[in-house]
Amino acid sequence: MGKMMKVMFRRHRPVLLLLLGVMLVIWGVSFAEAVSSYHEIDHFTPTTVAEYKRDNPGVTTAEAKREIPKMRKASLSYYPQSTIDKLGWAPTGNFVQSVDPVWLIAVVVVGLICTGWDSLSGFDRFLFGLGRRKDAYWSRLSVYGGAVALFTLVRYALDMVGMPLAVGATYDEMTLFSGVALIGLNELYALSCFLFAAVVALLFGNFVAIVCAPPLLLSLGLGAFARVDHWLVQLGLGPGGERFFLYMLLVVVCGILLWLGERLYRSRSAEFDGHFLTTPRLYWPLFGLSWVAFILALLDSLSWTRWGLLVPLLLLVAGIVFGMRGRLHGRFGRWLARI
Amino acid sequence: MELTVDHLGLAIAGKNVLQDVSFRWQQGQVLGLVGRNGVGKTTLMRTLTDQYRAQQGGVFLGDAALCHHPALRQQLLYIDPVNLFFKHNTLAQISRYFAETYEQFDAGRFARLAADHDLPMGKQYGELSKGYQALVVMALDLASNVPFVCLDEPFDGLDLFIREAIVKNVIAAVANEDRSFLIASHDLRELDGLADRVLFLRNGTISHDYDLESLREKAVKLQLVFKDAEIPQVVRVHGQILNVRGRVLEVLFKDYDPVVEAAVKAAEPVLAAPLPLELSDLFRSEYQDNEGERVHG
Repeated sequence: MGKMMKVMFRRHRPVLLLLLGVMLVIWGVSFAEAVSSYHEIDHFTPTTVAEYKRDNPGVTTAEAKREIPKMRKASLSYYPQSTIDKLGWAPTGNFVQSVDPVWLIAVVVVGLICTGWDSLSGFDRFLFGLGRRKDAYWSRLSVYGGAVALFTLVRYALDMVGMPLAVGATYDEMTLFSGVALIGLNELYALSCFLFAAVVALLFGNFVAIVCAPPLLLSLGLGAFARVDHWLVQLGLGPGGERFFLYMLLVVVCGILLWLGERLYRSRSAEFDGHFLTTPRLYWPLFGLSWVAFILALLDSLSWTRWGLLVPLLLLVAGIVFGMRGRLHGRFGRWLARI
Repeated sequence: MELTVDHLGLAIAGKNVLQDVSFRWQQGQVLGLVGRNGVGKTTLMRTLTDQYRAQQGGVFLGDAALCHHPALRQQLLYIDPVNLFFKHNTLAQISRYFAETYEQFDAGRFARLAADHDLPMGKQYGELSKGYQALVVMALDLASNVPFVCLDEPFDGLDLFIREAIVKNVIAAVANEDRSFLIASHDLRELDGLADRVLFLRNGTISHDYDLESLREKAVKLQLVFKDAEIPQVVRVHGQILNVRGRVLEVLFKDYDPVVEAAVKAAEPVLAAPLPLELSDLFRSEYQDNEGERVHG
């Protein structure tokens, strides 16, 4: 596996650097937004005793010192709807809204490009000729997943250290504005989605599946999470932290199901050559389910960004167009060609 | 060292592309692999190197199955000319990829081979002409120092000098380094002079495995003309009509023993002239229907 890791890293170095660049840009934008909104709040919140006494004639200095933190806290908790959405803490919000969609999409798209590129260019086959397939796929996951985890840590660390320094506030105060506390969890969620997609790609090793299924499964994940989140709120379950545990539980359950699917697939078929119709029967129910979920997510689109829908949709179309090219066989292929 | 392919089978999209493929490949041997288009030559090579996963049988190096001992795959190399991941890499980068993955890869030798054929190390593979690309693949095969090498259509669309260079390199590698090659090609003339044995792939299986030298000792190709339009029984039973021009027949007799020879003479041909037996004759005999008979009749 060491050899595979080396050659994998050599091959994907430009893509990983690109991902690092994207991460820094996204971080820069969110950093600037957080700092800006912090200062905006400062404009209308009394921060000194003099300001407090000016606004509340007759109070003593001791009272002012006691009241300022309370007022500040109250004003800080009155953040705009976009921040509520970002944090996902308010009862009307949901977890989907707390995901940083740009970073999530960047991670998944880059992952898909990598897997599709490796599959189409014959790089996977080059690796298969060197060792176990499992090692080939895990090398990719390790390099790519490791890079995403590292970049996430870097971004989180930059926020942790940089934001308080930038405005002279405490980290907790900044947290309320920037959603810093959830950034780590969001990235974890993005990573889970990527793993979700990667496992599907690992399962089917097929361009159509690589390009179509992950966005669809992503939609399945997001659509289902949004729906479940809504139900949980209706049931009176508490704020994001508790629900987050349930989401992660859902991810784990889905992961286990996919792992079982993989075991089933491997036990039923020795073939794994990336050919469109060599995918196991297991694939089609999943594919159908993904479509249902995609429609659910579409219906739930008000709670998600337009780009978050558009990008998987474009990927789906691209996947069908590219995947169909020269690969239409059998009854399903002809049916697909007709539609 | 010997590589054994044992009852290899593979189905893609419900179609049996390979079925019960078995042969032995000794080190230092050049095997030709021929067959009609789409018969599964490339699939066989991909399956040998585990790019496709065999559904039946297996590939063994000595007693060890390659699927259970992936480290042994370092002894078998196939650079798929269709799926080349390094199209956008320079030759120097490609060399580094192979140096990282094949322990015995000799980067110095690759650079020397590239220099011998005026291949610029700084140029991308995809920018090279088809002939130069073939030479790069050949140079990688040679510099890899892998004992068993599969070559897929190495002469396809190449000019005389590049073909000669490839043949020369293969012969030198076999003679000096005990390397072994499995060459799939439609260029039967090149293969004829190069291969020790030729495997015929038909309907996904090895229909014939000819040792060319042994075959030439007992097989004969005759040009025959008979007085009557009707083809004599001996030709129908023991021979295979390869070509018909008017009343001139080209017939292959795979077992031309004295009995058959006497029977041919007894049929009193007007003309019976031996012709050189070429691989293309075997190919024709393997894959053509009884077209000759129909034309003559």
